[in-house]
Amino acid sequence: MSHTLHFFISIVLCFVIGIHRVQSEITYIEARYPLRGTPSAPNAPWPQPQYLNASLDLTYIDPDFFIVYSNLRNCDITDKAIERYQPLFYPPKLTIRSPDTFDDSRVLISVLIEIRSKKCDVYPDLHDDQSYNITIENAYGKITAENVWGALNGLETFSQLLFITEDDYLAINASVTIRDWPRFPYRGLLLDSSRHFLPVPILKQQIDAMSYNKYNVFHWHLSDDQSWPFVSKKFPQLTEKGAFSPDHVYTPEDVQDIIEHARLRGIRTIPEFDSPGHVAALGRAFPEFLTDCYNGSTPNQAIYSKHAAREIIDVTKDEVYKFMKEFLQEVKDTFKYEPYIHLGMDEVTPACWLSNPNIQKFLKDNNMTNGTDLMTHYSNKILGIAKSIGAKSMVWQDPWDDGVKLPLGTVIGIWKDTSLLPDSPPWSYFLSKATSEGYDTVLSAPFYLNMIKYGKYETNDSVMNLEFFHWYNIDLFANFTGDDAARKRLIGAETTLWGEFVDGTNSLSRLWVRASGVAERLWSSIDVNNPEDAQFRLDVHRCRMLRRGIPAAPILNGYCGPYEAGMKQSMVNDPIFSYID
Amino acid sequence: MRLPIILLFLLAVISYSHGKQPRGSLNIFDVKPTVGQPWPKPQTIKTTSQQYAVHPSAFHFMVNSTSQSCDLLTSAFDRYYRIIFFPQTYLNHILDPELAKHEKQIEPKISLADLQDATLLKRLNVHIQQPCEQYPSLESDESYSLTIDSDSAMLESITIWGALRGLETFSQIIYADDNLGFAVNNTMINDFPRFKHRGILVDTSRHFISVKTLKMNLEAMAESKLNVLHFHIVDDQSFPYESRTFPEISLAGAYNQAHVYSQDDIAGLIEFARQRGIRVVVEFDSPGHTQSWGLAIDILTHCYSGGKPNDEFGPMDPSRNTTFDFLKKLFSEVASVFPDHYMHLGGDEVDFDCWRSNPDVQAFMLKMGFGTDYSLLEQYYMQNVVDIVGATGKGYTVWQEIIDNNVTVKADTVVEVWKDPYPQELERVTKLGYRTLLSTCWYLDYISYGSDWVKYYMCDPHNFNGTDEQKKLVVGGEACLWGEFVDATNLISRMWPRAFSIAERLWSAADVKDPAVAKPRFEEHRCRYVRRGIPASPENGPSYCDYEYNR
Repeated sequence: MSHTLHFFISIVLCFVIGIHRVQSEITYIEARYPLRGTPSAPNAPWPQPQYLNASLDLTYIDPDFFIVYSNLRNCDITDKAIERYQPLFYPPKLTIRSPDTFDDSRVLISVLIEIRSKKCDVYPDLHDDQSYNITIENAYGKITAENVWGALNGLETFSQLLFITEDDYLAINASVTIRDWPRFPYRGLLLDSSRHFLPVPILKQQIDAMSYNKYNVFHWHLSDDQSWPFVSKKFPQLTEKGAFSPDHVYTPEDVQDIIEHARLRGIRTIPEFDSPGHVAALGRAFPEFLTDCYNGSTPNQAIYSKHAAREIIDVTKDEVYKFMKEFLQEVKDTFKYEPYIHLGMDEVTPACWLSNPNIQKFLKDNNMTNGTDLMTHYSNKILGIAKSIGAKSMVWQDPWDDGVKLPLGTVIGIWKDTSLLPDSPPWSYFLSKATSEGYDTVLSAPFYLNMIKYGKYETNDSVMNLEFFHWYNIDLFANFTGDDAARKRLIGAETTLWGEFVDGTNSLSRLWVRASGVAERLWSSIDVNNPEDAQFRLDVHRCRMLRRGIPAAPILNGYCGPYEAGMKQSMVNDPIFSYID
Repeated sequence: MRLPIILLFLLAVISYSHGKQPRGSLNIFDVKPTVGQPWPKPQTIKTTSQQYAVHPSAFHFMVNSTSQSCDLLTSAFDRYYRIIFFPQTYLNHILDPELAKHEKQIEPKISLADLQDATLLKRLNVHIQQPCEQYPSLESDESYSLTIDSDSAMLESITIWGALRGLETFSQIIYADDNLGFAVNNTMINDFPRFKHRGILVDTSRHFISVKTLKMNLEAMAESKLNVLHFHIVDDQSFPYESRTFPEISLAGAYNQAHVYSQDDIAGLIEFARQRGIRVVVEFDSPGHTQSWGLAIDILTHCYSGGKPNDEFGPMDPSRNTTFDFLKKLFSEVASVFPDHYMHLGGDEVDFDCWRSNPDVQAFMLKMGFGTDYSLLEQYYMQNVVDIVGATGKGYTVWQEIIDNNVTVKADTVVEVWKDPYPQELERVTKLGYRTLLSTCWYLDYISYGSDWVKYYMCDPHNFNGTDEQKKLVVGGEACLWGEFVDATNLISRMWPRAFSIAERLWSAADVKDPAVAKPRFEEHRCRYVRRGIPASPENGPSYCDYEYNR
């Protein structure tokens, strides 16, 4: 299958290059190390579809007459998507000529989006069919999908097949057959709004960029030690005390705005409210929730490297659970379509708990002995609350690998690895174990894109971008020891951009185009794995993202077009693609 | 300059396991930014707690009646008025005046009437001793003094360049105040730079950088008192310089015609830099790093394999007189386009393999009596180039290889050290009596996870064994952001605030060197950039600025 694919892509490429010079290019780092790999067609889609067959000849699009329509009437998802894709089809500021000199048979007239279920779904679900087909034949195109979410994937791929030729015509292969589906159903991106505040316009651009790469889950890390930007209607003191400032908050309207922005793009928004650790900001609003840490018999004493003066939630206090029940109910109501809440539960070290006499008494009274018992107590309570309000739970792996028995059905996020924590086993160990025990898991350990490094990956006769090579080559099942059933429980992965060193100044350019490498790993067939070829396609995709206003940074030397950042025709900061008032 | 390719697969610093703070430092305000403290730190600064209110409708820049003045000063007044009172609209104002016209006027939060009881600072009197020079130079005096102790403040300098530095400091010590709107404390500053050459290298060959982005970077440089743009304008990958004499080079050698600098663009950049007291030192690197030049003009060495030319090209071909005829014409043009006394001639990383393979070059070696020592051929080439450029009246800067290779250069040559171990090289080059620049420890393209500004901050150009005379020969240094993985999408956020380190190292006193002490000031300066519209990225872990960057 993929052979067919490569074959056709390269034929199309030769053809296209023959007539229309490609408008972007990557080039070597050093003259004596020329780039290896097959140059890409200017309209190669990213991530690469499972099956793609395209003709050699082109057909053209007349912006004044071309229409996209769907078989659903008054469906916001499809209607708004069709509207949204207009500036993606016809990038503002770039010249597109009408193909008036061509005969009608060389003009694509329309594309029909056909949703077989005939239903206008409201919100994407993990188990939805995300597949789609595209056919283009005899001047007509068709995107078919079981549901609107597959259709959005199809529309995105279709939009990527369009390209502007050097003589300014908008073209696409005259005959196209694509059958496509994702390798993993869960393709997430974690953004951290606590370490630095990410303004709403930046979040919206991040979500746009996700949709250009077929990511479908926005994991929104909304609270941590550093700040609490989420405005709660029930507990306004959370942001009054816990936010960096009154300007560094997401109002209920902002949050709905983000959820809706993502939903319309087929992206779920899963909020994370981390506890019982990482709660310093919560503790500024509710100091009584935190545990007094002791040094001997003196309360509120830090023993640095072991514990702070006060930290982590005091699991013995009933008012904590009363708060959590009310707050999580508000979260559930706020993220009303999303079944999951991410409850954190990572990095709880029990030293503070165990230093506290009240907790020591609690342990004794309840026949408990250690931190794991306390964590079991806490997670039982919190997972019970989540269940009672009708929410499903995601947690980081920590309680589970500390020995807490989590109910099956809890989704576990695997983040630990030897590369992050020298004493930890590798992530493959955790992944094999959790899936074999029956948990659905999401893998983020190898995809910490907040970690940056400079580098060139050198082979004997070529040089590549090291980071791209690294992310692109991650094999999610490397050293996996589970059986086939366990394998299926790896539902996907998350690219994480923790926020210590990113904010509105750099989060877009730091994440993109690097996160696109991961996107292809999660969507495309396992045998789409040649980084030397992929770097050329990825470059085409980077330029595409620039045309869509995303300041995606380069992975190699080269150029895109007259629309690069800072140029007169730059789409970066264009009002159509940025969300500034 | 490229370091040899090394497999840099270093694990990032592991301090934040889950992207999280290390245990024991849960205090979110690890770094509390300073208020109204300048970066780089002045040589001497004394302040008291006495505050003056500064209000946009009751403040004026004045030129002292006995002072020299010129257009540079009056346009700086316009800029700094806006920087001080309307920083959020400043950048559009200088980069995109059309866009700026549509911006809403920002009303001051505090009206003048609210300040009846406050002591107002009403004017800054500027006094410049010498007539304005047109362009800054390596010899320019940038010292100034600033006194704020009444309603009339005083800024004194010898040259216009010192006045520009003083205005920048003045704009930085004014801060937003809840009660006064804008305020400044009673302050006495005496200031001058420790090093005269404080540079930034920008590489526009590996990726084209739009003029607008280059201007934003020049503005950012001025806000940290950096004064040299080392414009690495061409290289193997592309030749974006549109030559008047040889327009065919960029026609063939630029990525495409959207990726070129016209003569107008260049003139605009030089003027933008001049307004800020920044020199533009252009680099035309040869004989290596010239693949893009050769696409239009037959000046490169034809490489041979198996006794035949193999369609590959090496460095410039020194065996042909036509090569030097070409360079004479090109460099004479460049000398007239770029007003700075110095031109950077490159000279780094020459690969001898192609020369070795070419029979004409071999014959030339024989004729010249070079034997098989190709470094003699390199020396011969560079000797010709420096003589050509010397004849235009210009001075030149070269990468260290030229000196390592024993080329005879003019006495005023500036040698740029980029290789490790740099202390030995600095010792060697200064012993030979040349003025020297350091860039080895300031390769900003080498990114790593975490607060890497500290590493740059710790590097000092006087960190070598040498006499006082030798130390004096070190004229400064440069932060280099090579362009392999950098274009206009990330140039500014990668350069800033990391280049703050170099700025302070090269301006402030040698004993201003404790990063823990500098950090709160660094944080204020970072947020100052964001407020002024420059996307300087967070470098010190979790934090926030009053104004966040949202575009």
